[in-house]
Amino acid sequence: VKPAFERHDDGIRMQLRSEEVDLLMRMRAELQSVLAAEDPDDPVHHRLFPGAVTQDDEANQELRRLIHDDLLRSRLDALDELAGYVDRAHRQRGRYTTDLVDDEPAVVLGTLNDIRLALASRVGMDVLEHREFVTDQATQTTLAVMDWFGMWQEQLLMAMDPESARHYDEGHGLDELDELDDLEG
Amino acid sequence: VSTLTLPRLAGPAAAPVAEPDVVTDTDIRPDGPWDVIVWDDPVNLMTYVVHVFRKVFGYPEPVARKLMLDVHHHGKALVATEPREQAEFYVQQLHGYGLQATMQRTS
Repeated sequence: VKPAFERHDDGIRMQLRSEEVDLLMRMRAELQSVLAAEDPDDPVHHRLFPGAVTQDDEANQELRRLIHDDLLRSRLDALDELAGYVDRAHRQRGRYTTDLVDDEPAVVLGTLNDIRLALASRVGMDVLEHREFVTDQATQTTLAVMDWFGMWQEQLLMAMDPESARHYDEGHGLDELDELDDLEG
Repeated sequence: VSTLTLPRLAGPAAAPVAEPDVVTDTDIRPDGPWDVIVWDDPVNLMTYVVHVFRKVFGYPEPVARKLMLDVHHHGKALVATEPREQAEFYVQQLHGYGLQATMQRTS
């Protein structure tokens, strides 16, 4: 099975099956509607616009207010851009293909992350911590979507920034980390 | 199925997520430096956090990876100490990437 995202010439080729596009666009629309509602009591809103300053409540309120609109606007713009990438994709035999260039891969990466954070907020932290015991079908589906989009993020990172995408437990980077510890004494 | 591993979570599965308490500090030194702290969460991928640290701070990969592991193992990491305006900029950037970041006056 081909990866959904892989390096291609100067960009990154996004190649999704039609059912994957349907899922992605549904998640995109749901996040868009949650963001547009701007409900401060919604856990998704709380997670995407978290506290900014500790030990100074006044400064915290001020900074959250200052950065909120920019963050909201950039998140909504990214969702629009994602829809544009899908709209322009070449469709053939049930696959949507387009090449992401410039900052477009970063837009997709960030949007996938926002969707995963929103889904995680919906299922709740307790579920995430004990996901092996989840029997509820709807929650299992949500967790599966989070994992699927997480795999796409890994594929994107592998193509965008291979150094960051190396896995610690594969043994890569251990020498460098040891050297760093040595330097720090 | 892709040969890539399934996503790994940045947070230990059983660890509680530390929600920083917001309290008022009366010892105000407006010109002093501010610490930027990133908190652990069970959603952001480890590789993604390394990527974000490289993009936002320009850290070399070993430094970014070490900071990510600090977050992973200790629940939080001090990622920068800067004047207030720069610290605010970093917090905004990190929130834009979906990381839980806060700033506080350097003690």
